Amino acid sequence: MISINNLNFAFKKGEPLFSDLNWSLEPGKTYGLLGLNGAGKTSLFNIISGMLFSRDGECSFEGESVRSRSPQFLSELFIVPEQFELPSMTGDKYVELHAPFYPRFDEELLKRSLSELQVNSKKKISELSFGQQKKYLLSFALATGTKLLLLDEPTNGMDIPSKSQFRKLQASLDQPDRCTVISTHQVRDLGSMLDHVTILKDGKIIFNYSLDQIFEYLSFIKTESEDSGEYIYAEEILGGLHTIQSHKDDMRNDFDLELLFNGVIQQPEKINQQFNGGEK
Amino acid sequence: MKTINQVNGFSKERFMQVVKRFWMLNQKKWLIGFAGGIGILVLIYLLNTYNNIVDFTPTPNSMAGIAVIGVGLTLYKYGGYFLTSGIFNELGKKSTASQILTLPASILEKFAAAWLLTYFLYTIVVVGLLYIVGILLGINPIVTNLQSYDPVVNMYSIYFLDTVLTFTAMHSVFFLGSIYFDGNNFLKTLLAIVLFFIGFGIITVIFVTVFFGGITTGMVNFSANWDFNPMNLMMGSVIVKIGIAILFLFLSYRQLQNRQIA
Repeated sequence: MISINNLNFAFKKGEPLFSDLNWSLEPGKTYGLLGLNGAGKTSLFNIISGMLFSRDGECSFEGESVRSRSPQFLSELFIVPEQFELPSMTGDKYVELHAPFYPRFDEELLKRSLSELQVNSKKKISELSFGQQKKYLLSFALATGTKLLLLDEPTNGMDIPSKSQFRKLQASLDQPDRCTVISTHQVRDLGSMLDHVTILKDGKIIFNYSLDQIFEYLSFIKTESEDSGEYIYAEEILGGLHTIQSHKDDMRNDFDLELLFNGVIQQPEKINQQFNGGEK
Repeated sequence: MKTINQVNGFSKERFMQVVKRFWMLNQKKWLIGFAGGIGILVLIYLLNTYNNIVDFTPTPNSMAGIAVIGVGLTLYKYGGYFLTSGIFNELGKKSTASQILTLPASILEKFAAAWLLTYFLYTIVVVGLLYIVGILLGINPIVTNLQSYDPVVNMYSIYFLDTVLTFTAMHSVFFLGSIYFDGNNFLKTLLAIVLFFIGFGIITVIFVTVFFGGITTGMVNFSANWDFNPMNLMMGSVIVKIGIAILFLFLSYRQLQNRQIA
């Protein structure tokens, strides 16, 4: 669906953000794009959506360069940026103006989402709190039915019940053609929604595996003693360690996305080694 | 809800939806502008009428009307530049740019919709209103005539076609400014125009000094070579203004095509 090949991008000459970046996204999957501050997650979203142009390399959607910003590509894309300002109009007016551009827009789904997230579309959306505006935009985004959905820090500013409602809503949707990419720091909020994890560091993708692959090659094991055998990465928890180890069939897998993220940032080679011919 | 069938070529349906969107986003500012403009014209009319009554001077009845139309045409130009400068204000902010850049319509549709609203519809509405005002004040066909028959009024200040042509040229400059600059588009475009003319003036002085041996010592008699009859002047002015409009509209389109998030 989305294919990024040998992409190079820099805001300033001599300070590359991405060098020879390669990434491909497939329909029907939810990708988690993780990275430290300044890793380039938002810039990558802007490149994928055709809002930033790379110096060289290619980013294409179903074979067509995203840079052309063709109406057919844009009608299959919806992006929820981290920071946004909605226009001064009611939610219903916003739908009347924007929904016709999306051929598979689902009004029933929008109503359901707004009702579950408790957003009043009769009010002026610009006057809602930031969290309410975010819930409105996320509901609209889900209802567009686009093939590609980019969510930049979707749960930032949302209250705790709304985060859970949003997860349930997203999980309840049957969208085999849709590829959703979620960029987030809040791995605990959204970890359960992902089926693929991509981690960016210093302008490169240092980890890019599906959850199936992760479970196939790694085990996340909580141990009580510090003598927990051979582990690739470990963090102290109350009463012991939470470790990442080579896959072990007989052990309970306490998967933790935050632990995986920290492990990959600290020990990228060691963790990737497990996938590239390391022990299963 | 009726959705638009997405095709990559120009779609009339999508274009109209973009026009509607631009109008809805800007209508408050535009309506306030129109109301303000009408208020100024009413004030000018009342002041002129009041002065005539106080002075007991037997001025022609059309004087107040001519003043109103003259100011109306000036407001048409500068109001239009101001409103044009704000048509792409979404592009100037990171928090809003994604909404217009990823709006599923072609660059041409977005460009043409903004142009239609800020130039074509704006001109029709404002000139139409001024025409109606002219009828009400009994001074038509001053708006559409080439010249005023009132000897007190300078024909060029109310020269309708000249005003529209000047607006056509300058509108395209402000249109480019609305796409190019991030925020304060009107003032930045104005500043760019002033700087351009300052630069142009300096270059002209240098050119004349270098090639004609100085401004004071060597006078160049252009009029000896060129025929300065009013018709030629007018045609020259028309060609230059249309040329500016075409050039800047082309640059605006290219700028919109290459615009990235702020």
